[in-house]
Amino acid sequence: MFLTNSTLGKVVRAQVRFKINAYMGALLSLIFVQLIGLLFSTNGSSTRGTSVNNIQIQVITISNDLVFVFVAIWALFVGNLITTRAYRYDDFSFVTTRLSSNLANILVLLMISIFAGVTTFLSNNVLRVYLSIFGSTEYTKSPGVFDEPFSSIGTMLVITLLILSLSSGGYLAGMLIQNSRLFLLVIPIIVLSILTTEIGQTLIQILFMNESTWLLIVNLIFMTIVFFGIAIAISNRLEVRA
Amino acid sequence: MKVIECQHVKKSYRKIHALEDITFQIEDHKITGLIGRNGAGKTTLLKILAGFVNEDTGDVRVFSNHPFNNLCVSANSILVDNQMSFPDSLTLADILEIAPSFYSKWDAQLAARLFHYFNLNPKQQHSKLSTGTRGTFNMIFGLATRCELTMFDEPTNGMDEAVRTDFYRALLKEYIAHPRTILISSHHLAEIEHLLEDILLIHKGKVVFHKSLEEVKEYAVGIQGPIEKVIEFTSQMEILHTKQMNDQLLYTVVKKDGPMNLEGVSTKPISPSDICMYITSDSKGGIDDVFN
Repeated sequence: MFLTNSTLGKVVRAQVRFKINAYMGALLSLIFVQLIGLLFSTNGSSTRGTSVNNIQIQVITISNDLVFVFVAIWALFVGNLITTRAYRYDDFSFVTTRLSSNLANILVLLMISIFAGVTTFLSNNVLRVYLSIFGSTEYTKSPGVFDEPFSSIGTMLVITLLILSLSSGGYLAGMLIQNSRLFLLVIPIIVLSILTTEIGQTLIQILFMNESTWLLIVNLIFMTIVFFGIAIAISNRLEVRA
Repeated sequence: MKVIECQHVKKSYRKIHALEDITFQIEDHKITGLIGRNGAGKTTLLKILAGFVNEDTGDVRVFSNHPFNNLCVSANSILVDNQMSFPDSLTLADILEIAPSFYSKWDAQLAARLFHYFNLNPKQQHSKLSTGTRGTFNMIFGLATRCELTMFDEPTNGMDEAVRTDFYRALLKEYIAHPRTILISSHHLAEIEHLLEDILLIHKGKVVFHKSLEEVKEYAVGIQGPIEKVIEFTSQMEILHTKQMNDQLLYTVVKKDGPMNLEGVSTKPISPSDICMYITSDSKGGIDDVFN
C-alpha cells in the first residue's frame, strides 16, 4: 500500500486555485454592484449654489461613497454565501479538511477584498471621466493617485480592510447559522443591540472613530482575525453531507 | 495491513440511532460489499470512514488515522455517492482538469477515455446532469482518483442496465490493473456478487457478519419436504425463513450447523443475496403473510 502524502499548504494552494475559478460569479456580481453604485452616484451627493452679479455658481459634490456602501453590503453577502451548504460540500468532493477549507476561503476573501478595495477606490476616476464627458460642469477637481500617493494608498488599504472585515463578519455569521438555525434570530438581535445601546456605541467609537488611520487599520485587522478565528473554531465540527 | 478498523462505533442523529455497535476490520486490496436494508446504516458508516461525519463513541481508524479532519485520509480516500457536488461555475471538463491538483495519482487518461466512452458532454454542469449520468460521472471521478480506499455508496442508482454492466466491468478492470481497497455499498447483492471477495452485512446499525463470499454461500440451506418432517428436522436449528408451499409442503431456510443428515426432504443451496435478505428481515414469513 502506497499512501500519498499531502501537506496542508499544498492542499490550501490547490483549493485557492479551485475556488478562484469556481467563485468567478462573485467577482462578476461585484462589478455589477459597483456599476449600480456609480449610476446612483452620478447625480451628486450634495449641491450648493450661489449667484454673484448674475453669475450663477453651482458646486456639485460627487463622491463614490455610495459605491463603497454597495460593495460593503456585497462583502457581507459574499462572506456569508461561501459558508452555505452547497459551497462547503463542494470542497468535500476533493481532498480537504475543515481547516484547509477555511484557510482557502479566507485567502480567497482576502484576494477579492483587495480587488474590490482597489477598484472601489479607483471608481472615483470613472465618475470623473463620466462627468467631463456627459456632465455640464466647467471645472472638475478631485484628488488623484498621483497627486497624493500616500494618502491614496492609505485610503485603498482602509477600504480593502473594511471590505475584508465585513466579509469576515458575514463569514462568521454564516458559520454560526450553519451550526444552529437559532443564530438567524440571535445575530440580528446582537447587531441591533450594538447599534442602539450605549456600550455598543462606545465600542464602535473605540474601533472605528480614531484620529489616526493607522489605529483604524490595526483595529480592522484585529477584528478580522478574531472573526475568522472564531469561524474556524466553530466550523471544525461541522459535518458534511449529513 | 489493515486499512479500516472500527471498534464499537456508535452514531445517532438526534433521536435516531443510525449505528448501534459497529466492529470490523478490512485488510488492504480487497473488494468488500457493504450490504444492508434501507436505513441499515450503510451510508452513515461510509460517511464516517470518509471523515464527513464524526462518530459519537467508539474508535474509527482509516490508514491508522482518525478520519474526521484528517488530511492523509482525505487525500487517500474518496466516497462516491449521489450527494457529490461541484460548483455550477465549472463544467465537467473543468472539474476533470482541476482534479489532478488534489489527487496526485489522478489518471487523466482513464478519466478521458471513460468520459468519451459514456458520451458525456464536457461543457455541461454537474448539477444539470440526470441522476444516472451524474452517477456515471461520479464513478469516473472516483475511479480516476486511484485513491487507496475507494468507496461507492449505491453507485448504480439511476443508471440504466447497460451502464451498470459497464460500470462493474470498469471497476473490476481498474481493480486488477491497480489494486486498492474498495468498499461498495448496495442493497442489491445479486448484482455485485461477482465482484466481491468479502461481504459485510449490517442490519439496524449492527454488524451481522463479515465473511468471505464462499463462507456466505455455505451459511444457510433450504429444506423442503412434508410439513411434519421439516418441522422435526429444524426444531433444533436457527430458522431464517419459512414458507408454506401448499397443504403438505413446507420450505424452511436454516442456518447451516455442521453436517446434516436429512432424509425424506430435499435440500437446496441459498444464494448469498437471499441469505442476506432472510437474515435482515424482521418477520420470519414473507410479504405473502401480510395478505393472508
